[in-house]
Amino acid sequence: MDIEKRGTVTIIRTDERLDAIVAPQFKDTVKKMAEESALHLVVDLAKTRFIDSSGCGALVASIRALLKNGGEMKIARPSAQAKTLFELTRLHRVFEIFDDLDQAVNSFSS
Amino acid sequence: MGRSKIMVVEDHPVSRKMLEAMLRRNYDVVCASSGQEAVQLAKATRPDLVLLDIEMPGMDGFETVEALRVGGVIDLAVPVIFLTAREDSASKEQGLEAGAVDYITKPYDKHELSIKVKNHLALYEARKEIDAKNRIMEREMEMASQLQKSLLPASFPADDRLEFAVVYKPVSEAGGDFYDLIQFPNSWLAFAQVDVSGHGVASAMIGAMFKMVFHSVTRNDCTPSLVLAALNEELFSVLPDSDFLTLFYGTIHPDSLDFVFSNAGHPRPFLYRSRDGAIEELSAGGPLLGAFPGMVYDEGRTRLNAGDRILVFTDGIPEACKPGNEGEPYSLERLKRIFHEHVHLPPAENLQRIMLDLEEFAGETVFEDDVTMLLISVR
Repeated sequence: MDIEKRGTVTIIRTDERLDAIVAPQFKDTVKKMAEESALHLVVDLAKTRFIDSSGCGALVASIRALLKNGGEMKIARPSAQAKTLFELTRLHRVFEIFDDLDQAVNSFSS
Repeated sequence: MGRSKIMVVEDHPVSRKMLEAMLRRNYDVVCASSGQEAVQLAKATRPDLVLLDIEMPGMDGFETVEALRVGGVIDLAVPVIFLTAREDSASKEQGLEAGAVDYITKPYDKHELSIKVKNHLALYEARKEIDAKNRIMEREMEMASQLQKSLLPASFPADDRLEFAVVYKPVSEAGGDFYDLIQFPNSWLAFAQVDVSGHGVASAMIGAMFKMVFHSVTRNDCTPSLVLAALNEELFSVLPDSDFLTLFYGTIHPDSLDFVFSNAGHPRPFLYRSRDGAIEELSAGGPLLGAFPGMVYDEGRTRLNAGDRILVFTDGIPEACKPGNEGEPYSLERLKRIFHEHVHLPPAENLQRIMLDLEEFAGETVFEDDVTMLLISVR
């Protein structure tokens, strides 16, 4: 997992797997950042080949932490597996998902 | 905390007196001059730390430590420090293997002795504290487990057309999976399977919250789309930030066999159709419950026939892994295949076969997630 700042937008790149093992760390990292400021966050899933229900749960907890603190979260470049999972769990209705990273970064209102 | 009690076991009177004098200022000291006497004295005085000479007539130090430990005379956590004149590493190793935590070589260095005693006593105290906390946690876990069991329906409704079977294996004493059944006065029968994020005490409490909300929401109406939307609002207002749950909710009319359902982010249950042997996936619904306000839930509607079966399961099954997380998880495909292979067996046996296959797949792996399956079959 690594973190990049691009202007006012923060990008988190997740590793190959977003599963029960790494989900707590991801969740805690985002929560901490969310509480510091109204965060514009892009979760870049380009490297992530596998997400399980814990990973999904971590994304849900993250977006909730952000919304609560006046932030916003976008998801960029999900794999086919991730897209299917978001559709199965209907999270695509809640997440804003982009196939292009720049589009995701530029999508924040201000 | 009172003064710690140290037992000195040393056959040589001068050494014994010297040790006692060194320790007396900070600790309560009791002395034994032989192994046999040490065992009796330990029974009577319950020391917090033992200083034990290796070379003694009669029982030597190694035999004494065994007699103390094996008989349960002193707790395994009580530190034993060997006193030895020997510089050879073999007897030191033997001592440590016999369960000593440390050794001190003669002639005693007062400073070394006092530091070692102090450190091992501190470790022992810390360990006692952890043990006490663990006992509290175990007790809480057990209460959560009892709470959780009380949430599960004690029996399934007896019905001429519908038969229920369940497999329920929480990962810890208190898991995050639940199921529930409600019989409505208008004879509709509702069932729900829930997966709360996480396990343990918190999940059991969220399960209890869910059950209350579920029963109050379904009091007036059992329509799935309405029930789920209402549940979502209620849960969103009461659940902590990072918690949520997935749910499959189905209602069946036992006469007409009309089946209406809605799925809130739960793995899609399998509907086996006896007429053509096909398996359908029950997807109609919406997002998981309790995380986002204002969600809308679709409803699926169909009619069941004799021989049809609905398998509702939690994600712990398709996501179960092989030892060491090697290779791909169990997968929906395999679950579907094994379910289908044994779909002609009685419901409970149908589930058992799936469990056997899952256990064979997972081998020695301890399941990381709760495993729950609910099977509804139409006679």
